[in-house]
Amino acid sequence: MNNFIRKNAWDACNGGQFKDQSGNYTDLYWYAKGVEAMKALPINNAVSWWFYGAIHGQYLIATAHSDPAPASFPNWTKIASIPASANLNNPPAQSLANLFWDQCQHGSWFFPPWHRGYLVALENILRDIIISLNGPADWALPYWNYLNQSQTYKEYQIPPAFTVSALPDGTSNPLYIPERYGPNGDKNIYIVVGPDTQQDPSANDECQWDTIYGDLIQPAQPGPGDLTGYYYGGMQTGFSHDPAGFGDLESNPHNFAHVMIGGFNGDAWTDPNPAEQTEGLMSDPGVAALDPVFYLHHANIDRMWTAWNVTGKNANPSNANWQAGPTANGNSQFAMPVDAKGTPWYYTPADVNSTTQITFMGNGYSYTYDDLSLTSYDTTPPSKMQATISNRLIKLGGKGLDKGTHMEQNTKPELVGASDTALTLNSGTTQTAVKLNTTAWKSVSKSLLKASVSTPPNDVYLQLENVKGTNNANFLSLYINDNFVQSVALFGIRMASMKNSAHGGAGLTFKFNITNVIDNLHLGSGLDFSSLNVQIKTRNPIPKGSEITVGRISIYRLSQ
Amino acid sequence: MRLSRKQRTAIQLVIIGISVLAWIVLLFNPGHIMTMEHCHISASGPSAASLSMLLQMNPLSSQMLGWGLMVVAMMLPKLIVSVQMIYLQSFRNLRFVCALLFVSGYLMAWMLAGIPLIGVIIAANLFFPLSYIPALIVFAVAVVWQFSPLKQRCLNAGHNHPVLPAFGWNAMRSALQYGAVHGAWCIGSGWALMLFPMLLPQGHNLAMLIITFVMLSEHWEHPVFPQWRYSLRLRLLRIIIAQAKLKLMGVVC
Repeated sequence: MNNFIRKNAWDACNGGQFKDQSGNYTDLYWYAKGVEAMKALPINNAVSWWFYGAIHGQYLIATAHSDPAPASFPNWTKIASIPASANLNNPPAQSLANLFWDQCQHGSWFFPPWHRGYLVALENILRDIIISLNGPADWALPYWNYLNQSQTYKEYQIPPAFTVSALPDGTSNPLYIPERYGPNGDKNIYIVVGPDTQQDPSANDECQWDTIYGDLIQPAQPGPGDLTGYYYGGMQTGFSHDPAGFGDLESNPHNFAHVMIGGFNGDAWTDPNPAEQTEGLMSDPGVAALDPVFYLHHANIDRMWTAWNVTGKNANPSNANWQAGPTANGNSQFAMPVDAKGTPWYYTPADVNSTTQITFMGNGYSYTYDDLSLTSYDTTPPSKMQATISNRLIKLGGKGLDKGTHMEQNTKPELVGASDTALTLNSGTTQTAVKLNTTAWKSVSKSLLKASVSTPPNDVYLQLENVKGTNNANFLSLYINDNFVQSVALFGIRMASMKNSAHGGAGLTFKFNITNVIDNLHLGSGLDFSSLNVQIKTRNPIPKGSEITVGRISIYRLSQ
Repeated sequence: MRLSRKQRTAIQLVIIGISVLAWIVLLFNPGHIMTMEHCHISASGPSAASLSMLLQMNPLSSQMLGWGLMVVAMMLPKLIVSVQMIYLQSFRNLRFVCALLFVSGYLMAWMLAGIPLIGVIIAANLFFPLSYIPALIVFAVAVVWQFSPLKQRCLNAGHNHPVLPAFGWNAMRSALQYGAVHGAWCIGSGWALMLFPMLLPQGHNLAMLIITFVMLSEHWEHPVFPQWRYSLRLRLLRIIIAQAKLKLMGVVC
């Protein structure tokens, strides 16, 4: 069995080019030739580029998993880069669309394995095409590691092969699409890399320091093991469709990179008429997989997951409900077409648990990456990961602390404050006072005052519930009493807000760990106040008619 | 944010416990509240006298009581997820009240729906005493309704779990209102299925059990675009089979 090696699209391709220094074609060239062949097929062919894009998500027809497409953008018929030869008016049979389309798993602990299978299926189709074109038999999908701190190349930039208009032979470059606007809306496509600070939402690989993939019910103790409380791969997606939130890998860098690449066409803050049509394809899961860079971005996410397992020595869930996939809870199984007529490859997370032991169409399949460094950007754990419960107790003046003392995890959530009404966000900053329940808030205060090993202090979370809208190409940055907490990307908000989707139109839910802010307030002027001042800042202006609403801002304490 | 496993289990047990109690009462059928007593009053067919006799033998109050018990028995388990969410999203001192108001709103909606539906049952007994014809007609209607986009629309709306206001009267009023609205969509999706067992001269307990299974199953399906769709929506069965398989394979943690 071959062990295919996925290589860095910058380093292994002569700085992201179609030819290497000796003039030989690189993996990116062969990727382009494969994409070109797939793009030449009509959408009703199950191995066409368009069909494969729709597997992730689509706005063309209603399927078992989606609403009908909106009449205007992002309806696929309004997307300039889809050629007439795609024959969008003649979609595949409804049964095929129901089986394969709109499958992407987001806000779920199935996010990593579903996308791994998606890439494996596409890679095999592309390799067959490449071999038929006399390309390398060991070709594998390249990855774009935008977090790489290379001294040779600016790898945070999109590889040049995606931005030039022509292939070396002068024909049109299938990797280029015009609907890619970048973080500043000027078609300079790059990823803003750095710690997530209030200056600008930034992608990084802090998630790689997590050590827990996911859990059944509650967030872990924030700090070592779990950056935000949502775990590395996401919280368990079980029987009910209550929003589980994004896992750390999915949230940042995955969602951040999507929104930065797709971006917003035009100078965000000077455009007098921002419109939805100005969103780049990568910003929305219903059109993202039409962009060839999608698969290199996901290869990087898959590489990070592999490194997290192999180098970080972290385990995936052994829980049978994860291993068996969504069918364990009565949902559809993962399915990828492997030929033109749509022969399915059904797979479970267990089938793709390790890249070197994949079960693909009943056979073994193996691949790895040329770089499995745990991190590319952050080589030391960020300070918030070092903020162990012991440190917190010391900070709070807690008593009875011995080294190695086992601390129970806080698991019981209780609402301690909430906004009165739903909130419609303004472009820029929206400020609101989140009222606290006097009795419940006193419990938080008391727990911080009496913090000890036997009575650990409460953790405090802020949750933006039912965040709805259609504006994917945006970020929200959260501040509490002027303290920056975290930014989140709105990738997928349109789909999550659609009534007849699996989310039931509930929108997205974002949870922020604000324990540290509350600790500091407690140590400063104390917690004797009746409301928290919450500011939500959008990075880009919100297009007209595309408002973003927050159903409620809730503050929870977690206690034992 | 999710409730702890213990909290979730406690809510499940309480709701299922109440539902089981209601089932027990229904199965014993005290005072024949779940079945309509028949009499062959007149060889000449239905009349005001026979209606009067029927109502005397089956007072509306006991019919409504039976209907209410049936709703509690069959429908309460559908509310587990909503009650868990209300519990999570409410202040501790309002958790129980809001959950109770939500359930009350829901039951009120079903009781209101019970008035015309019991009317249909009485009419069926008046015009077709001890006949399977009304049940067959309603069954046919239920089958058509089952696959219709309208039913799917109702099922989808039943997945709308709004985040309610948290403070004071607002919280309580919203919980009651949410229950009533949730109940209305539930009636929209399940009225024909609920009516069917009530019209059966025989075996309506078995029919009620089957219908409960079907209604729970379809309630737990994800929303899909409303259109004519020939799907049995048996998610509960799929879950049972999948979990049994996992257990048999001995891989459940």
